Amino acid sequence: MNNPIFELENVSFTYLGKYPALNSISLRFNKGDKVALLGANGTGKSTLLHILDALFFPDKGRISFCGKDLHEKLFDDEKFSRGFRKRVGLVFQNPDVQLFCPTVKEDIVFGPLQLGFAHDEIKKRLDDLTEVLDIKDLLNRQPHQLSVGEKKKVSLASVLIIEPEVLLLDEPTAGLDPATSRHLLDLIDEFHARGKTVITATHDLHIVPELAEKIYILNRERTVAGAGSCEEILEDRELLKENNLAHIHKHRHDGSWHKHPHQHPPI
Amino acid sequence: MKSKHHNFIQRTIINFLEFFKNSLFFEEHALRESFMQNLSPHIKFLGIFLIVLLTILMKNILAIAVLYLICLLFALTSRIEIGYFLKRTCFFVPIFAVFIALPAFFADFNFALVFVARILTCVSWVILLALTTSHTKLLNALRCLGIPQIFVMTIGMCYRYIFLFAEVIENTYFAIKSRVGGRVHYKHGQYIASWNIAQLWNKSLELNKQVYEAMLSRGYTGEPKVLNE
Repeated sequence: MNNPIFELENVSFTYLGKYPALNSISLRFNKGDKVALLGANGTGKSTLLHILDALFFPDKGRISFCGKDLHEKLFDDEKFSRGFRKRVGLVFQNPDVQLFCPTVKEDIVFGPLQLGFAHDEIKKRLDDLTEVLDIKDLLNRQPHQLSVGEKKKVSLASVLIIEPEVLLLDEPTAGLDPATSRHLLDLIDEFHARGKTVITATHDLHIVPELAEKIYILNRERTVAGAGSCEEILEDRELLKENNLAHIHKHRHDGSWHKHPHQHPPI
Repeated sequence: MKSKHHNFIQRTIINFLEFFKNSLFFEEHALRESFMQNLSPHIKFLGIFLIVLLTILMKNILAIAVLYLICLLFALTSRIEIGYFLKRTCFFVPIFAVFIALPAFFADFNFALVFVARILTCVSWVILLALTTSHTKLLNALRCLGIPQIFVMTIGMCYRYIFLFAEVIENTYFAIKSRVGGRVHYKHGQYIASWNIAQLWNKSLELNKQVYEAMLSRGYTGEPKVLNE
């Protein structure tokens, strides 16, 4: 419980110095946490993940990783940079961004190669991971030949092969069919069961009970509108409605249309 | 008449994109078991590189023609349909040749003829290489021949994202078509086209930034490393 991985204090971030993306965010993520960053479109979830992955740095406020303040200059130190990249992995929302090599195999091994893993170790991890993800037959394919679901699996593999302590996921099931979503959720759950930290940005309430024990809600002001356990947040209908997260179902009863909010009972 | 004209533009755009994708991305011929396909990619690359160099240095049109005929012969023995091969060559040759050589035709006809013949021969050999070798093997050959990894990676990434942008152009065309319905005034058409070119440029810049972030996130520090197999 008292083992913080990330601590953010009053973190603000703007794009090009004028478009605000995060506004005075204070959060804490502990080792082994399973957290969801829940928010409607444009509330800064992806930006926050980029800050946690040290791709962006706050304009104001501070962020620390395992007690050490993160700032851009720190990443000029190759030893620190490598150590951080080995411990934190981000799966981007758009798999086309993440799959930039000519073949699937080259994409998966890209991370460990840059981070200096031994080649035998990389080959072993590649074998194991492709078996688990059921993507062995895709290894020599080109990324543009894959379906969206296959691309998502390969993106996940390209990060899981590093075996990071913290896995950051940006909308992991967006655009996937139910069977592929199921497979990915099971894999993420297995990853967390091994004591790893999982932080997921999403607006899909259906997957939240499986992906999170703790939830932070981000609002239109790009700040934290609410925090609590999965049960507390999903039962707070007002909070969800205020933040454009409540599902309103419309269906027919006895020949007339009927609307009601959809509930997401926590598992 | 209007409809025919409109269909002509549509066919041109779609056929161009299809042809471009087929030329660059489908490896049907590279997978066939035949003469050029069975040669080592390193030997093919080095051999064709030397032939291209030789062609550039030649001034005798007959000698260039002999090299061109040998190329056609190799294409035939590699089970590439000659019509298919000529179509692909003719697609790329004007891009390199016509606009540069056109003014020369009026000044020095012989020079322009040799110039176009050189380009036709060089392009044909390069297309023969591309058709008979899968691009991943070609990139590996470049690596093995000592081409710096950063160049090989850049070529690989260009190849990867050209396909993505060809799809974006195709989808954008259909999105415009689905909303426009009939024929558009040419001035408005120019406006739509120029706006979309600008949009594509912005998209490519954004993608470029995001891909670099994805590389940094996985430990890239400016010197790409590859798996030795």
